[in-house]
Amino acid sequence: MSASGPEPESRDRERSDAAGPGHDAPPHAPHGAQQEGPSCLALYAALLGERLPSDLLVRTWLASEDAGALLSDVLDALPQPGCLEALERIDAERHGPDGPVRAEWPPRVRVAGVVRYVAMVALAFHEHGVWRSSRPAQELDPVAEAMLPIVPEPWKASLRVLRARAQVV
Amino acid sequence: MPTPVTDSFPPSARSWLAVARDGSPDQRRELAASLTAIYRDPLLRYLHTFGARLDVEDVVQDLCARILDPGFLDGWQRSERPFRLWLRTAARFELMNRIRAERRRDGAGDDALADLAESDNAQAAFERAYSASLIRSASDAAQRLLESQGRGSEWMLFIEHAVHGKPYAQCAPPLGIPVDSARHVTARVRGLVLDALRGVLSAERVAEADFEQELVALLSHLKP
Repeated sequence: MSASGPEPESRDRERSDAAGPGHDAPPHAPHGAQQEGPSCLALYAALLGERLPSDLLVRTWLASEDAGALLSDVLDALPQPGCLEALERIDAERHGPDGPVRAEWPPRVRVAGVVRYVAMVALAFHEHGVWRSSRPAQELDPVAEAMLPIVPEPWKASLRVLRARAQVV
Repeated sequence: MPTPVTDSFPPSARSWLAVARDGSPDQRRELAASLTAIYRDPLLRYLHTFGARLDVEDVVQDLCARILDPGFLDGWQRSERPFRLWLRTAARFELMNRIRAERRRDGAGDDALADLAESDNAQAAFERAYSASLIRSASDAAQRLLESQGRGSEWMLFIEHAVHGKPYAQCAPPLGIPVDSARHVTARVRGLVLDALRGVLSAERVAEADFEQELVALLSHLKP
């Protein structure tokens, strides 16, 4: 390499320009990156605070140590599939009429709210095959995707249905 | 080669050039070490994706040794490219040159260099490692700075509250920080880390208006 450095390569630039955030994640992440990932994720999330998009917030939290414990708490508080009325009552009590997740809530509560809301939508699909809401399903798709690996087995089918219908408003 | 520890964090890109040209040996050594701490691992992971039989650690070490060459930095400035893209291209060129030299020694031609085409995962591997090493270096530097000033408890408060999500009432008193002032302390620490990131991201051609968006993008590279 010369001291003046390389000439830019057009192919390199084109590929870089085309690459959006988070594109083309490696199927086999380096071992070190996997080990370091969660704490780095948490640091970015701490810097962004309330400005972190909900799906990234959930993904970040899912990588944290207490993800399993909190998700268990949330799911334990929910009725099992087949009890939609009870679930809707819980949701109404916790969220009120203004929506399922409020920006002013602290991140941990927002995560719990999003998880609970996705579970509710999944259950609606499971029970009725439809979901009526002004909130586009594709907003929830990344969350459903991130939850799939760690939710209890009974919830997985509903979450997959939600993901399959993510284009439906 | 272990990453050298430095007590400072590279400030703005403009200061890199000033140190490269007129800095004392200590200043140059410190800046080179802090830049190496950020870019070495991403470059290694990037070059590993090419699957070359050469020692890529040696390639990266050589590149990091020249990172403050005024000619190298001038070339980067003229290119108007983000620093990490410039480094990545330099690393690939260096790898190609070494492969060529090896093939010449073996009596083979250069025509097989198409083998060195960037794989689909090469950029992703680099970006993922870069996202991790950047935030790690920035936070390490902020922690060391606070500890050197006898304010290590402020860093611990930031971690306990902003990262682990513990309420101030639970985590501030054991650290000797009044709950009333905990929010301000956390905000100051957050600002310290953000300022550290701003310095490096200025070299990556990230405008201030796009700063938060860039942080979201960096975080996205790390998503599970």
